[in-house]
Amino acid sequence: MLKRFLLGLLVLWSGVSLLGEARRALTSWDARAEWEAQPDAWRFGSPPVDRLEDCLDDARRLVPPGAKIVFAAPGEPPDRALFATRWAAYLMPARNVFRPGEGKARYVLSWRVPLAGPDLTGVRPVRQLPGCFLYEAKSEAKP
Amino acid sequence: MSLWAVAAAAALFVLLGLLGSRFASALASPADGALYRGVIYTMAGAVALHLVLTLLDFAGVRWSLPVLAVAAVLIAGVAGIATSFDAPGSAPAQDPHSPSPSLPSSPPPAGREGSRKPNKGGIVLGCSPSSPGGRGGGWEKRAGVMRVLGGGAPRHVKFAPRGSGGEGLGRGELAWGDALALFALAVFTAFALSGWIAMPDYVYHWGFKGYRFYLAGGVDYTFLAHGWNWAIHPDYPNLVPEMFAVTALLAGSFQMPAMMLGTAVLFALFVAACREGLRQGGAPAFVRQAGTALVALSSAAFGIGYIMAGAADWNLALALAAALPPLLRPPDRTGDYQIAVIAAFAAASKIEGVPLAAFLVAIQVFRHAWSEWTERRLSLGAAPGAVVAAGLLPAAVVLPWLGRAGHHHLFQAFNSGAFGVARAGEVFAGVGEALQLPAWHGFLPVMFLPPLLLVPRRTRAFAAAATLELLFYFYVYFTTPVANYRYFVLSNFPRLGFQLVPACMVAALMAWGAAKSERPAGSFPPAAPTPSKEPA
Repeated sequence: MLKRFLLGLLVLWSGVSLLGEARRALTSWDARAEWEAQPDAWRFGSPPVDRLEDCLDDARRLVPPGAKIVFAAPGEPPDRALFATRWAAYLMPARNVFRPGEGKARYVLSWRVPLAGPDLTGVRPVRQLPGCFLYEAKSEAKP
Repeated sequence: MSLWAVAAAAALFVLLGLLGSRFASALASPADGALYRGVIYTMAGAVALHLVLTLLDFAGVRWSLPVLAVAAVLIAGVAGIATSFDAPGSAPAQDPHSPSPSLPSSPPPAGREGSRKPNKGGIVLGCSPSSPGGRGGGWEKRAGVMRVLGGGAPRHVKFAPRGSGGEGLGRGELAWGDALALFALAVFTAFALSGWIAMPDYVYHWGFKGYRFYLAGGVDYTFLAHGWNWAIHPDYPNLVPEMFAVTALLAGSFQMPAMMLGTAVLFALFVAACREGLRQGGAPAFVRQAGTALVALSSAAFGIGYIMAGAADWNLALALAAALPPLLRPPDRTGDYQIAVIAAFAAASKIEGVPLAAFLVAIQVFRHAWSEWTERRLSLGAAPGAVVAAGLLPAAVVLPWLGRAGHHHLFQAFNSGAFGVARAGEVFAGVGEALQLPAWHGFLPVMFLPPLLLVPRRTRAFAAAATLELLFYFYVYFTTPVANYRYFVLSNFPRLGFQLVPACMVAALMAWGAAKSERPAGSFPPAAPTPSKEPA
C-alpha cells in the first residue's frame, strides 16, 4: 500500500511538472513577439529569427546556391556570433555559411550593422537588405 | 505548417515499421506485445534504411524515392529468403505471464482466419487469439493483417511467432496510465510541431545536416570535411540527419514541423518500450500503469522545459528502453537479434551510441556464455553464435562510419585528450548544478541508479549496460579538452541523463515494485557482467 501511495505521488508530481512546463511554454509562445533573446536562445517564430529570415530571403536572390558566404555579426561576442551564424547556415542550407576567419568567400553578410574600418578592406557593398548588409569580395579573399 | 509534410513524416515511420516487420520471424519473441514488436520493427526498418543510404553513398548513387523504393523491395525479398531458414538455437522465449506453451498448437479461433491464413507478403503485427482471461481481447481482435511491399516470401515466414495471447497491446486494455501517457504525448507533440521547443542543436547541426543531405541527395562528405564545419560535429553518425533528409524526400521539401513530428514518434516508441519492459518485468498492473505514466509525463515535462524537440537524444533513450525486454528474458536467439537491431540503431544515431552498442552486444554474449556455464553444459558454443547474431549488424553500421569519417578526416581533435583527474572538481560541480535543473523536476538523479540496479538479478543485465554507458559519459568529461568544464558538463549532462532516465525508471520500478511471484520459476535472466572491464 505504501509503495502504491509513493508511486502515485510520483505520478502526480510528474503530472504537475508537465502542466507547469506546458504553462510556461504556452506563456512564452503567446509572448513570442517579445522574445528578443541573444542568439543562443533564439527560437523558431521569435522576432530575431524572423528578422534574420527576412534578411536571408533577399540574400538568396542575390547569392547563387553553392556560394560561400561569410556571416559577420559586428559587435557580438564570438560565442554569440557563432550561434547566429549557425542559424544563418540552417536558413540558407544551399549556401556555405561560416564565420569570419574560417575560410575564403565571395560574399559577406553583415548582420544588423554595416561593416566598418578594416573589415571593409577587400569588399564592396552590394545592397542593404532588411536587417543586414551584403558585400562582395573584390577577389575571393578572406575579409 | 504543411500537413502534407507532417503526414510524410508519419508515413516514413509506418513504412519503416512495415519494412522491419519483414524480419518478424527473427525479431519477434512470443513474450513480446504488439506495441513492442512495432517498436523493434521500426528500429529495424531505420537500421535497414541507414544501411541502404550508406550503400548508396559508397556507390555514388543519389538518394531518391524510386531508388529507395527499389531498395525496400529488395530488402523485403532478402528478408523473406533469410528468414525462411530457421536459425539453430532460436527457441523462442516463453511469455513470462503465461504457463501455456509459447506456440499455440490448436488452430485459430473461427473468425480470425485472416490473421492465420497465408497471404502474399502479409505479416502479422500482434494478431493473436485474445488473452486467456479475456482482457485485452478487444484490442487484439482489432489488430489486423498488414500487407507489405508486394510479398513473395515463403509461406511459412508470413507470420510472426505467436505466443499464448500476451500480445495485443501488451495484455490489457488501455488503462489510466496509458491515457496519461497519451496525454503527455499529445501535449509534447503540440509544442514540438510549433517549433517553439525545437532544440538548438537541431538548428546548429542535426537539422542543418539533414537539410544539406536532402539537397545533396546523400551524405555530403566533401561539405562535412570543410574546416568551418567543426561546430556541426561532422564526425557523428548520420542516422538522425538521414531520417530528416528522407522525410524531406517523401514530403517534397524540407519542413521543420515534419522533423519535429519524428521526435514525437520516437517519444511514443520509447514509452511503448518502457511499458513493455514493465510488463515483461512482471510488474503488477498498478506499477505498470503508474510506470508508463511516470515515464511519459516526466519525459514530456523535460522535453518541453529543456526544449528537446529534434534532438538526437530521443534515439538513445529509445535504444535503452527497447533493450529492457531482451535483457530481462533469458538469452535466446531472438533476443540476440533484437539486441543487434537496438545496438545498430544506437550506433547509427549518435557518437555515444557506439559504446552503448558495444556494451549491449558484450553483455548479451556474456549472458549466453554465463547461461551455458551455469547450466553445466561445459560448452560455450552459444556464445560465438551470439557474437554473430548480436554483433554483425552493429558492426555493419559502425565500420563504414569509421571508414568514411577516417577517410575524410572528420574526427575532431577536441573530441579526445589525456585523462585529467584535476578537472574532477569542475566536472562534479557541473554535475551537481545540472542535477538541480528545474526542467527535470528532481528526476535526473534517477540516472545514477544503474549501479544499484546491479544488485537485483532481474535488472542486472540492463543495469550493467546502463552503468557502463554512465561511466562512458564521465570518461568523456575527463578526457575532452575544453576551456570550461563546468559549462561543458552543464551544456549536455541534462540531456545525456535523458538517455538513461526513462529506462532506469522502468528498471527501478521492476526492482522495487514487481512481485517476484509473478515471474515464472526459472525465467530469471542470468547474471550479467559487472562493469569491471570495458568491452571492446
